Amino acid sequence: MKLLLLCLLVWVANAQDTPNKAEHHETPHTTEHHETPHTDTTEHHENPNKTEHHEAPNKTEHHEAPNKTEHASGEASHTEHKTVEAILSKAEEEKVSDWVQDWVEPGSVCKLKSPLTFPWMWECREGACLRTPVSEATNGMTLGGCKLTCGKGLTLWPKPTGTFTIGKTPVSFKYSQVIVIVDAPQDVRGHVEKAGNRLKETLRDMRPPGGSCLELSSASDANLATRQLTIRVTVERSDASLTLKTDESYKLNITHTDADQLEAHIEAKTFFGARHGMETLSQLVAYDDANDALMTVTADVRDAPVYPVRALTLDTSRNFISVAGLRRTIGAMAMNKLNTLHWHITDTHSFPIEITGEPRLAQYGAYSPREVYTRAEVEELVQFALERGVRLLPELDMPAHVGFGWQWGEKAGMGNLTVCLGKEPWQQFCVEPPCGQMNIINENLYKVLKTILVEYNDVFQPDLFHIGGDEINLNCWKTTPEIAAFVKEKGGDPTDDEEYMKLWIQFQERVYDMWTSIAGEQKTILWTSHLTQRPAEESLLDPSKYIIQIWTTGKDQQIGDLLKQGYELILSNYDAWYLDCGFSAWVGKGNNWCSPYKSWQTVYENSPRKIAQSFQSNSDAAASQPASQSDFSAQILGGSAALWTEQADDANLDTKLWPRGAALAERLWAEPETDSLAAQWRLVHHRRRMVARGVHAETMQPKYCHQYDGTCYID
Amino acid sequence: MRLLLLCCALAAAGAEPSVWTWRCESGSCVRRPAAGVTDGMQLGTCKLTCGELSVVWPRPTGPAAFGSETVPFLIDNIQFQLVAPDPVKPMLQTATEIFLDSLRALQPSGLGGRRAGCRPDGACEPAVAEQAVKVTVAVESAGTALTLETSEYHQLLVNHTAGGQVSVLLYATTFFGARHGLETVSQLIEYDEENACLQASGARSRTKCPILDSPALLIILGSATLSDAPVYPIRALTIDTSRSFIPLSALRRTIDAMAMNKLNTLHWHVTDTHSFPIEVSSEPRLVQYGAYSPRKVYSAREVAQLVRYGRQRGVRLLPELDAPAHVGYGWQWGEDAGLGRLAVCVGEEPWQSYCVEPPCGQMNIVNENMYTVLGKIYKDFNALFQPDIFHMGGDEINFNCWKSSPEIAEHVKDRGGDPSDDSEYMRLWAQYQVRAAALWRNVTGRSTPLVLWTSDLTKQEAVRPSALKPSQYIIQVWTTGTDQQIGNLLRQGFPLLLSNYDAWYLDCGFSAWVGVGNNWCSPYKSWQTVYDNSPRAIARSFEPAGADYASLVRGGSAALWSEQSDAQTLDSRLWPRGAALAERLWAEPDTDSAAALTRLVHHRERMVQRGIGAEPLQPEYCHLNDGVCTT
Repeated sequence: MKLLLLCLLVWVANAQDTPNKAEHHETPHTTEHHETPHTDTTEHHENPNKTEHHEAPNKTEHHEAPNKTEHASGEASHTEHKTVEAILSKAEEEKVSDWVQDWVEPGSVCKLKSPLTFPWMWECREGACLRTPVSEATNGMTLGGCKLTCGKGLTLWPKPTGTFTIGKTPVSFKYSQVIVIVDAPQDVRGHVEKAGNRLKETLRDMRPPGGSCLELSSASDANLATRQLTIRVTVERSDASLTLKTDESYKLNITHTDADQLEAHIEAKTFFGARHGMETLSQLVAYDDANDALMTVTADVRDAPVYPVRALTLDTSRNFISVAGLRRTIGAMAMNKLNTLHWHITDTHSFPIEITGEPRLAQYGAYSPREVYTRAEVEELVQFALERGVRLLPELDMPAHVGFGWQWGEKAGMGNLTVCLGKEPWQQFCVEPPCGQMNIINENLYKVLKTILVEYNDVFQPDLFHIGGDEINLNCWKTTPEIAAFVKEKGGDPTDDEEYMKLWIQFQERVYDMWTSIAGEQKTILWTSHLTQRPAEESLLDPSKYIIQIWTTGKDQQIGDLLKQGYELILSNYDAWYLDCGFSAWVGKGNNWCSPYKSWQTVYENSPRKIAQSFQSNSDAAASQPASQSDFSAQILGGSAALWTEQADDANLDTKLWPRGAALAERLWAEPETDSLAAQWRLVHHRRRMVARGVHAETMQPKYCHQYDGTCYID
Repeated sequence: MRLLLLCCALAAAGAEPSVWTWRCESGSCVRRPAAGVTDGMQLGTCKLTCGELSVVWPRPTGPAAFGSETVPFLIDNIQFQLVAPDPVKPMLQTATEIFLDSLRALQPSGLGGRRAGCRPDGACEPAVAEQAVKVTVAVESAGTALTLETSEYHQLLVNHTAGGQVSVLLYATTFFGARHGLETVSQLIEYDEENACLQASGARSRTKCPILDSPALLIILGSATLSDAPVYPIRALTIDTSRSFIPLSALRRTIDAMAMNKLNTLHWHVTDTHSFPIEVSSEPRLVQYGAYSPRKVYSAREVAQLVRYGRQRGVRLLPELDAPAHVGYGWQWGEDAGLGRLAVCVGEEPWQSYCVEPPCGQMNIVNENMYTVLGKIYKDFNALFQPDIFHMGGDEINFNCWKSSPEIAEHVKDRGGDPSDDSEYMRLWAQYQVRAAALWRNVTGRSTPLVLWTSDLTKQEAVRPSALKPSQYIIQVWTTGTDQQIGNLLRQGFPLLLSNYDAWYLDCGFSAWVGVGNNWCSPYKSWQTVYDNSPRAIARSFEPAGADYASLVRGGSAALWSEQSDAQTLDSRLWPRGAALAERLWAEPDTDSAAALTRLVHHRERMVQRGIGAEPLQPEYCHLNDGVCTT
């Protein structure tokens, strides 16, 4: 039967094969299909080839020809059709409505041009903005105005650590009346001016496309035309680079003068502090739909971060992240006053960065020629980040987590640069497929390594460098004949794991020396590992040379051991700060290894200070030392939430990072005593702001909760 | 959201082209160094030709065979012949345009205005420039509406003829089968960068590729035969637009993505207590009082357009007006308008006493004016959606809400009932359901199948016989796949739609939205869990000897409740897990998720190329090295 139909089809096709000019009208390149007969005249108003295109997410939309038959299948549907027509033919030019808008997401427009009034206003009660029927509101505001003035900084994120006061009355101003005046040393003046320009752009973009949904009354604020907002930014020092010692504090003062002018003054020791101050200022401005203008409040804010390293760890080896994705991430970090993008550039899977001194690394290591960061792109990115107060902290993870990119050595007469590459069964040689580890006894390896390090230093000019050092598989080296033979030659026992530990320790010392000879004396970072588990006198990791980044849990005794030995720490404990957890397994079934998903609440409540102190009480209780004399929390440099990209790329980067990255940011900026519940309303507001500024941050709650502070709770 | 195809960074830096080539080894594409290899394939060629099912998703249910030859061609050289009754023809023409768009999307961006397959100087490789690809589509039926009886069957024959032409013959009973067939054809086509490179340089050398990103050359599988039809007639996603608003553009993108997966039903949970975002022209106060803001509204006209947009892509919009619970904002103007309270318990606190999540709200089912408004909504919904199935919701009714509403308790008392007795409210609910169903029938003048969620009503056989008849209702199961209620419903002959939350709730596993920790239905449902959830196996698990429960399953739907989703997260929540669902519902394969992995990873890449922000399942390494990322 089916065969018969196919025969029929072949016959039909052949029959149509004869040249037939008319058939050409059916080729897609004619516009014929746009002009199929309309029975529905209202369709012509739609002008589909214009209006639809604006809304089409990615590609051209098609005008769908309405179909006669589907409307003509009986009496009932005939009348329905008329109803549809009646609905569709409602005049476009209806009166502009009195609808009040609250928050504007990119591209959203007033949908209903209804003469009806919006039935809601907002009232500030005990620090909460509550949606209230207009008829019942005694002191109603728009949602934006309420959030700006109600409570203690409902619009600020992360919350300031110093004293701050915020006024109760919004004052409107026109974007065209904004002036930025910069007073800064020559070396940083350019940076400050650029940041000022970006601030102005941010303010400009607060106005939705098409402006207010309200019917504006021209007399509402007579002084709007003459009221200026003068933003004065004063920077004291000329430091143009970000280090662990950089002062990121700032003062922000917004006043409404007797002459009815607005003045905002940002004072900071450094460009970096001033930039944070501008970020805060932008959070004290909202769109004012009643005047189709902007509004701000009087304020006095003193602020500085608790930790100097406030980071995201981003992996670009498992999956490639486009430069655009990295830029968007840096922009979002700046909105949250995060200051460090810890870039796990390479891993076994791919080597996506161009090293001009050794092009074979990317050639053999990139997933494809399109998935590469050129040197010029990286240099631009370093600058882009610095201007936004963010350092790029490069990681060259080694001696494990290497592989593709290094496999050309043997053919080039340099011997194996890596071993165990893609070796199976992978479970015996590494933690995840594909396997790969450096051939640390090959002298040529160090030549290539030096080329990379020299270039990293040139390109990143980093104040901190990450050597990785995690998840070394001793069995890989042990089962590699040339390495086992090497051990034997040196008189060791090639079956003894300890021999390979020794090789690893030697490797680590050599790499450290190589790096500091290139970049000068500075601390380098290592992940917790079997090496860092050992006491410093065995591992030869000098606490004055190494910062340790913790990826084990926040309860791991190793944290206490490291603190006791005087190491400075960066926390990335996976039970709270691994953002890739909780999704589908990528090998096998079920969910991935570090499930469950780390909720924003979990991220927020992970306190480095408390973690450090929890080990202090354990170890010092007996010694009865006063806490102030050996305050473990003083050894915490900060933390980083990590997004390993086995299951992330440009498609879901933003949703994995945000708003959880914002929860992290407040923890690291402020180390608040309060918990996530106390931060919820502000974070919901901040998340919407991030979306409005082009970051695809996840929804935390129904919008209802944003319109009624405090109603979405559970006992 | 879209993964931008990247400019060719290495080429710009003057480096050499890819050092890799692929070989097909027992159904897997294996990456090898290119040096010295003469019989290597590019990845696209290998993926098209290597696997038993090529890279078709969802897998065909009928006999299918795929050849091993690929033919390069230019997109401009595709010709269509459409043989179809008049009403279908314009839809078919639009379908071919959509088809061509999906091919254009395969090409990297940055081609500028250059003619595909040709060098910047305008010269074209003759063999390729003259390669004809002729697509003939024949449709038998004149029907343009999608119903439960619609045949989605299609048959496909691709043949590289002796005359050199690639002939694609597609036969389908209906338009809907034909568009599925075109979808399959689009999956037999890849962008082939290596070939493009060779064409561009005009040299049969693989060492230099000066303009990797210029010519847009496609390859099509030279031979394929298959016949295909879905196992279940309802293959759905359930989308909630009340908890968070989803803009129209995102709904359209979702329909695009559904069409790529041959899903045919967008079950649209339009309203809930939180907001009423749809314009009901005959009662504008619903959206006025119900929308979160005037920007978060679907105008009637937009809805009507979306219905057409869906139908053109083989997707029905199945509207749900959830009632009598899950209503609230949008209905609160009744008292001021002299109509009495249309909804009760709206925003009542503590919410735990009156509903399952804040804010509370339930219909005032004893208020006659409420039915007047309901009739208006039904009338508008019927006009806008012209639905062949209608969803009445009916889940999570809270008796305490009604019991504590004076006018309802009074009503019970007036009728001689005991207002403190839950069963009185159960009876009111059943009466409401009968009345609402009759109202819908009167308004539409048709007897459309109605859908209800599992609830206390569908559970209680004592109430049900008079209220719910298997001939009238399809029950959508949201409880777990082991819930005994499934067996009870099947025993009574109810047709079922499965949305069991332990596998097919796509919102699970994220941060709690009330309180701390993770949300109620954690953990996250992995794509493997979604794929391995078989409606047939679930039905059979309740089947007594001699019965045939599986035939009562009409299909299923994966639900994305939107407390924590809006346009920002929509794609990554829905895809590729929606694709895993699609293959389960299209094919009910006997094989498990592990067998589908390689194809799904490829399909995900394809969806991303076509503009869907689908999540990556694995490192790209796994896509370049079939079969290595396993335990």
